[in-house]
Amino acid sequence: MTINIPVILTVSSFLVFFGLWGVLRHRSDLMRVLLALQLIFLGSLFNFSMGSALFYEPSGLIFSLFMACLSGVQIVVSLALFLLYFKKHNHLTIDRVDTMKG
Amino acid sequence: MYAVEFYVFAVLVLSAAFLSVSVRHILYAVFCQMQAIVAVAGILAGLNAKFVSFALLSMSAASMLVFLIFALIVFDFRRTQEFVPEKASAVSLVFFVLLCLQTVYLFFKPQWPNEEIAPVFSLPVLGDILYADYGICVLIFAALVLSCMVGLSALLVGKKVQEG
Repeated sequence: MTINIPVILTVSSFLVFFGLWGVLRHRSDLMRVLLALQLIFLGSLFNFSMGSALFYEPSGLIFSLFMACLSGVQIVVSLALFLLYFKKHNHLTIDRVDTMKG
Repeated sequence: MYAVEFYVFAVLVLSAAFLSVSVRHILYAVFCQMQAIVAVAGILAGLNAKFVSFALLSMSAASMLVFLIFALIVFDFRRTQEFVPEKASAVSLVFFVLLCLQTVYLFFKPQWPNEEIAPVFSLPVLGDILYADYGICVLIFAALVLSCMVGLSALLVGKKVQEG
């Protein structure tokens, strides 16, 4: 049994697809959208790492390291914003987020 | 041998990702997401990319912990306790057991026999490339993380001062 490129691409594209599906399915809930975005990040990280292993080139791992860092920063900053918003409005539904304007 | 482990972890990643999107309550979704992240870290550890695996685990642990706390704030137990199906609890339990098993497996398993990839992904090679070829990127990302921390603190402290 070997690991082929189609298998790797299938797994990573399924991860990205699940993330997109999550964004569309839970588009009214900001936290679920954030979780789904994390899935998309995970899919691209997986793709970079496995591509790096396939071509014996460690640069892909460096990019996946940066990507993990970026996704952590993204989650923490957005959760801080959500916390401020939740404390003020007591809900996190995206339909009423237009009250953030001005 | 590594291919079998890769397929097992890939199935775990995909099933956890699917459940993370399809489960109704955010608390269970966060647990499933943690499962997916640990499985990806397992695949990376199998490639001998232990540093990246460890970095992914530690950063995701921090962010998922914050996420979990926030989910606990938003999750209304009194409202949802009545109609949480037993199936959801069983699935969460299964994923929690899987998570523990994966962690124990990753911790106790010795070097995986992947002789071709192991030297390419070893820590000295990675360190050399990181600081020789991607030094500017490291600096930019360090500045990004620092500015995020400062901005975050300013945001939260500024709000507290305003409230006070």
